[in-house]
Amino acid sequence: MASDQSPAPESPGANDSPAGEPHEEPRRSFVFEIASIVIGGLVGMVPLLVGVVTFLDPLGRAKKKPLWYAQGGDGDDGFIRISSLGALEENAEPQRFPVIADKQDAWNYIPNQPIGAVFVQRLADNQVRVFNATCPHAGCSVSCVGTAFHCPCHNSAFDLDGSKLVSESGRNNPSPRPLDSLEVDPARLEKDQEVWVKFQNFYTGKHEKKPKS
Amino acid sequence: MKTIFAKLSDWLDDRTGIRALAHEGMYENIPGGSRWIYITGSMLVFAFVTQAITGIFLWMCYSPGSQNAWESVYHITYEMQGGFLLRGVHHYMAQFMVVLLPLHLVQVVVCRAYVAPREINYWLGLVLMLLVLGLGLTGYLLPWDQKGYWATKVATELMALPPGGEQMQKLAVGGSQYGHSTLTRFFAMHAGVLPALLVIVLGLHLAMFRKHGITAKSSPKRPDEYFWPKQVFKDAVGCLLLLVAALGLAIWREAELGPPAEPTESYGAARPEWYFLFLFQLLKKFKSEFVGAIVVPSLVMAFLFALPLIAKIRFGHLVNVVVMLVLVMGAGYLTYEAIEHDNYDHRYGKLAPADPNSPEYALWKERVDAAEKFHGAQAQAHHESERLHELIKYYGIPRAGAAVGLVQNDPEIQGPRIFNRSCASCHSYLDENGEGIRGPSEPEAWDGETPYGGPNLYGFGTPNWFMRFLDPNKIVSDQVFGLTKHKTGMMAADFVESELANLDDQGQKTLAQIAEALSAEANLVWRQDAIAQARASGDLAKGQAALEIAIDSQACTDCHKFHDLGDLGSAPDLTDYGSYDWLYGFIANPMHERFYNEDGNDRMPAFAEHEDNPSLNLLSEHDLDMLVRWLRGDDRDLELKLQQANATAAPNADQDAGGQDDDAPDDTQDAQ
Repeated sequence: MASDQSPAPESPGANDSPAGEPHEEPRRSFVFEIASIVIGGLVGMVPLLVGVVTFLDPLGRAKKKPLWYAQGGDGDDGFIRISSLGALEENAEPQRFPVIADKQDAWNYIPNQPIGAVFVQRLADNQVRVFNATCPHAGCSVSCVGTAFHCPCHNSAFDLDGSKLVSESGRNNPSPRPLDSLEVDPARLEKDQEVWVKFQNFYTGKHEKKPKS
Repeated sequence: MKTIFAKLSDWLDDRTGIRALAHEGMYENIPGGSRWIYITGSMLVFAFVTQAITGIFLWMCYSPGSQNAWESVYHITYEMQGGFLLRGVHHYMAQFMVVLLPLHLVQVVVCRAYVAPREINYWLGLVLMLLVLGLGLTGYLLPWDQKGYWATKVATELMALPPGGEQMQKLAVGGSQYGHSTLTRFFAMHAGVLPALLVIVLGLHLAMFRKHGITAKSSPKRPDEYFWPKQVFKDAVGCLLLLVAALGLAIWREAELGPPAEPTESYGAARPEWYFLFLFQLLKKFKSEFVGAIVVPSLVMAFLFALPLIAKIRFGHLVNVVVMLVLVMGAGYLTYEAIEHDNYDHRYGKLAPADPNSPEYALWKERVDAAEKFHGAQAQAHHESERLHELIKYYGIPRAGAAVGLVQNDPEIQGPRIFNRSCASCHSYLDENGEGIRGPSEPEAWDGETPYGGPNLYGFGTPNWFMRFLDPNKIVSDQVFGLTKHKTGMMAADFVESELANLDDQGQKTLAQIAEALSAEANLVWRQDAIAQARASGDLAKGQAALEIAIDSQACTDCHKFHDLGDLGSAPDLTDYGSYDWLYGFIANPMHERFYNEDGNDRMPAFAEHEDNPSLNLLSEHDLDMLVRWLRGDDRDLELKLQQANATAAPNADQDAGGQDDDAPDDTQDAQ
């Protein structure tokens, strides 16, 4: 066996102190030690780093439309058509509409996809009120039950004007803010009798209404 | 500070015994001292760790499934930040592993590190090798490009050869056809099963290596050393080189992503990854696939596993070393031969054996043809890849995926394919340099009946296209009317050759204007600028006037119709000649009265004459659409197409394209 003539270190017990072992002048091996640590650390880190750079891609990813869809299409000003005004009854309860827009899903670009939902209520004098259907508490989808919006997840409740409701039993309403209202394009509303909405999602769980980019 | 650190260290050591472990790891004795040749093992471990790390990050971006695999790899490679590097390092490090494996193996055999008591460790090493090759094979499929798809398909087809192989194949493929299940299975093998097995076997391999120590013997000249620090240093340098090489290749020779897999499109350049080429070549050496793919490789593996046993016989070790080297060199030679055969046309294409009837010439010809085919398929794949990049830039990747959603609906990719399938038995498509799609090869003695040599359809609808028909020197060439009866028909013999033979400069100029005017009928998308220019300079109007005079004087209207002049019936209608509808109609049925009629048409089949029952047609509506758009070059320049789409979308933008063309489509409809 080749290792027969090797000295002790084949079976180093816990009581073998490292200081007693090296059989070489320490100064020369110091250079190798430093170099080994530096190079070893480097080669270990680089593959990890390469992976992390790609992993962080979503943080810096900007929305990009394929050229074909980027040209002259609707919604360039950020407004998306939801409904015609005529389809809404005045002062009826808010109606839920899907928001249809082009969707960039990692490698796929899919035109005309539902990307969210809104509640639209037509008030008197051609005014409309639009809310994002996402609950500001934890992102569930609220539903409208006649006189109020209600979230099925943690019992957030909102008045039809979006403000937080306090339940009669005094149960806590966990939402940090009112329902997120959305901007309606006044020009199109008046001129074309159509509801165009600037659809945005907002970070949930925060007091301030901060749009997700 | 130091005391806290020391205390922490003591605390940890009391509970884990980590110092003893580290000590055992670092202060292993190396008989005869550290050596550079010992680094292959560490490099392999490092390569595997790199693969595991980069693999996990790739995993976060990859999606198996036949509509997502290629697309997600595209996203990684071309859209995610640093993605090309991540994939590139993974791609190249895999290849380095396969290069290091035989080196490590040969080293172990030559240094007698496989004999007692290290047999089990040697066998573990062989298992590791098979696992790494398995990782290479499964990984090659995952991008789901044509190359990986067809190469892996061959590998799994071969699985069915041994008894019971059909079931094995079905299990590996996840059904009888390649698809989602193939990818999910291969991916689970590649990212889950094989690496887990590899970690376990590698652990045993290393533990056993530590148990038996380095095989080398101490000598007075070379004193023993510990593993730390000199051998660690050498190992680290080796790993650094490996890493730098992988990074360098990933940057300078970006990992390739071919066009996406299309089960219906055969791929002439299907090859396994280069380190499997020796198996690919081996297969060709045997008449029976079963022998080449199963028996011989199994015998070789059996021999490798038997090495420690053979070593017990007298001279056994020597035999082992010799056979081992022969095997490695044999694999190397087969690899070389496979590559050389694929490049035969480049190396020997111009060195034809003198005697064209000799068997050497036949072999030479066969090899050159095969290599040309291979390179042609590669070039086509490359071309399609580039086109696909452009399509993605313009349209994005639809949900159906790149293959179904983009490739199969792009005239520039589909046109040549359909042309090759349905048209190239008569027509060619060759540009000025003679490049493109070659039509039928010239028959040695043409019987005048066999379909051969219809017009070369390159440049259809351009002024040059019309000039060829009006030039007495050109119209008689095989490129224009081919070898159809029109070559000696009225147009060529009675009109062009007699009437247009000796034109003066003015006559030539008028002819060019007429060609321009005829080309304006085709209204080719990519010639809009040129048409506008001709209109502005007055050439177009002059050409149209000249054409009308010519037609009025009965020169053309004997046979052709042009807008309100002349009648249909004997030769193609010149109204809207070459427009989308015209060309679509022509290919659909050249025997329609608008084109050649029954008696005028020379052997061209009607490709879509059954309007009410499309299933009877030779070409589907979709294919015909692709073909027509390709011949007209409608989608050649996506930039232009985009501009046009915008111009027609905007209500006031068609002032230029309007005018005389506006009433043309109505005529066409009437005629039909």
